[in-house]
Amino acid sequence: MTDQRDLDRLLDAFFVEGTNEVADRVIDTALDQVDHTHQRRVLRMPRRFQTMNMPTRVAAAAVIGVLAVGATFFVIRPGPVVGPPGPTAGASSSPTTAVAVSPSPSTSPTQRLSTPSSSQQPCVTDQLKVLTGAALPATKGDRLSGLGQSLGVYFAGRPPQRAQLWAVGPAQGSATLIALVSPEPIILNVVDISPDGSNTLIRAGKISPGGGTECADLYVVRTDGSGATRLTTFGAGRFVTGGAFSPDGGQVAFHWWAPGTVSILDLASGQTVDQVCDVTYSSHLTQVDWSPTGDRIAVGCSDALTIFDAGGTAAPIKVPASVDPLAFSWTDDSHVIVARGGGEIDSFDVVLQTSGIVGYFADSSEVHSRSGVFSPDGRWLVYEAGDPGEAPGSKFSEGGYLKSTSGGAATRVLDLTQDTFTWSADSRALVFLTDWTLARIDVDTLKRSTIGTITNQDLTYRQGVWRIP
Amino acid sequence: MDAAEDDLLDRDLVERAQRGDREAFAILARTHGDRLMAIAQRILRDVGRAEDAVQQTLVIAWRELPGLRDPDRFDAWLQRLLVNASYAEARRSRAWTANVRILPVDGPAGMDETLSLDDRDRIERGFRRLPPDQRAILVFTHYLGLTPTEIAERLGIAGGTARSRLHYAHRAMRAALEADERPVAVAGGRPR
Repeated sequence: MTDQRDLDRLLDAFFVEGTNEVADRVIDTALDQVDHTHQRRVLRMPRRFQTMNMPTRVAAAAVIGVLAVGATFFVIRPGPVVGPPGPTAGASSSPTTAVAVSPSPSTSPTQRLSTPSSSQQPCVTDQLKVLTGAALPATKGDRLSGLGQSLGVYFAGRPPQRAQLWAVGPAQGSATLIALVSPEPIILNVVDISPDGSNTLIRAGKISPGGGTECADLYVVRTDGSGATRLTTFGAGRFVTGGAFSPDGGQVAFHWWAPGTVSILDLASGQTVDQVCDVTYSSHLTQVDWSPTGDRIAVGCSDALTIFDAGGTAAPIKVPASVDPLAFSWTDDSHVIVARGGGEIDSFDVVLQTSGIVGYFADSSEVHSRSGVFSPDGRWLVYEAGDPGEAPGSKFSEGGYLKSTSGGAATRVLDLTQDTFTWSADSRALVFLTDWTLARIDVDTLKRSTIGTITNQDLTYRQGVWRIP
Repeated sequence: MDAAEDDLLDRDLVERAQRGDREAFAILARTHGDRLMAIAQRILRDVGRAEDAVQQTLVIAWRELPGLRDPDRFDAWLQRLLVNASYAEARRSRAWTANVRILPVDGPAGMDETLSLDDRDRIERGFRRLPPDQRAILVFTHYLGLTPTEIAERLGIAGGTARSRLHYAHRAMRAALEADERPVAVAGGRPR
């Protein structure tokens, strides 16, 4: 009989043996592939830019100082905050701010962000200056032709001085500058647009110069530029990693760390429901997806895709074998479709808590990315990958692939874009931005057409969220 | 250069690589390459497949690096990518290696004298029968000397999962060793 001590001794000795050096050709081959590989530009990805030099810092400080002094001479209407934080349910530890975000436009030329009642400092000082659409001449706006009823909110600017938040709405001929963020924080993302298009969620945060802990807060900004509210007040060590408006626009669900938590914030009352999400730290950014009726929320927690009850009354459900899924989406109020790392597509029944494989998007040995997007009806999956058959260890060329979840081969539809893919609401078109052009591909015919072109190209496009009917 | 300076240098390189600096990434790849190879070879028991896993890990690391939140955790993050790449390699090779007679891996001179050739052969065969996740947990425990909690954090799994995998891996190894002993350990017509 082998006892544990003997086994430990044998295994310790066994693992002493073996290769301890990698051949130069292995590294050289990998670096050769790196030369032809783009780094991922993902939604909600932290953006990193050079640290400001001293003259720029002094200039930025001077501008902030002038603005601060100037602000004291103006009567500034109170922000959209209507009261202190309301009571919380569950583990009520998230430092959220009570908010009442009205879609009605304001006529005030500027509005300052609300001051949170918490004594904790926000991650970045309030660098977000909200403007009305009238603050800038229309001719300065980016032009997007043929946008129809589409809506987009995006960041552009000249890092690291300042970023500009632009919005373009239905039937508008040009985009409107709705906010300035100066100096630009390292982390700055548009996270979501509310269902009625009146509000957008953005994330702003930093990584400390000494290499300390990252933090990031979540804000709601009105797309007409009339106001903004900071939803969280996270100090060092806490950061929002993803979020989404509920289907009725009245709530925001967001994931934050640490500890890994999903919070559901009622925008009218400020009440929050906090639920534990992660058991271990994950470097992955977190997708948050509401069910069609708004009763449940699917979140990519670090150990499994997890289904949360929006009210916090039912226990969370862990979807089996769903660590780091490539994509997931609700197909109806009780089914979540999941693309797993092994190339399988599962449908998980939330009520029965059973799952079954409904298809495959790739062979398990093929190269594919960790980020994909299902169409709203669950019939299609788009993802980034190498060519079919290209396996780890071989050279591969990344591109965007379209795959019907009901079967058939994947089709390479385009090379990498500046943003993640977006689906039209009717699941008929795949929308993407490349070289300042917003374009769409009809998924049935694969016909490609231009939606519009952003003309203000002296800026650098960062990232945006687009909503196409 | 002490460990703290090494860490600072690594951090600087990671941050530069996150901003798209390929030279910084090349230094990181050469610095961490040996350790990655050592881990992959011990999990996969095949130098060629380990090399593929290392290559794949480095390419994925470059692609995904902007998403790494804490540059100080680069080493742990890289090892997690390596383990995932090793799993993929193991899945890919499983179909046609199942019936291959396993030969001992060539090791460096001066191998541990406490492990006899017979022991090594039996462990080798037992280890190769383990699923990849149990192989990884044994390598992280007995080669890297990590605790289940540290392994859980490094691999992004729950602490209980790490302990459970280690338990089953040890049990499977013990069973493999004892199964191999049976032909010579039968007493009174009944295996021990």
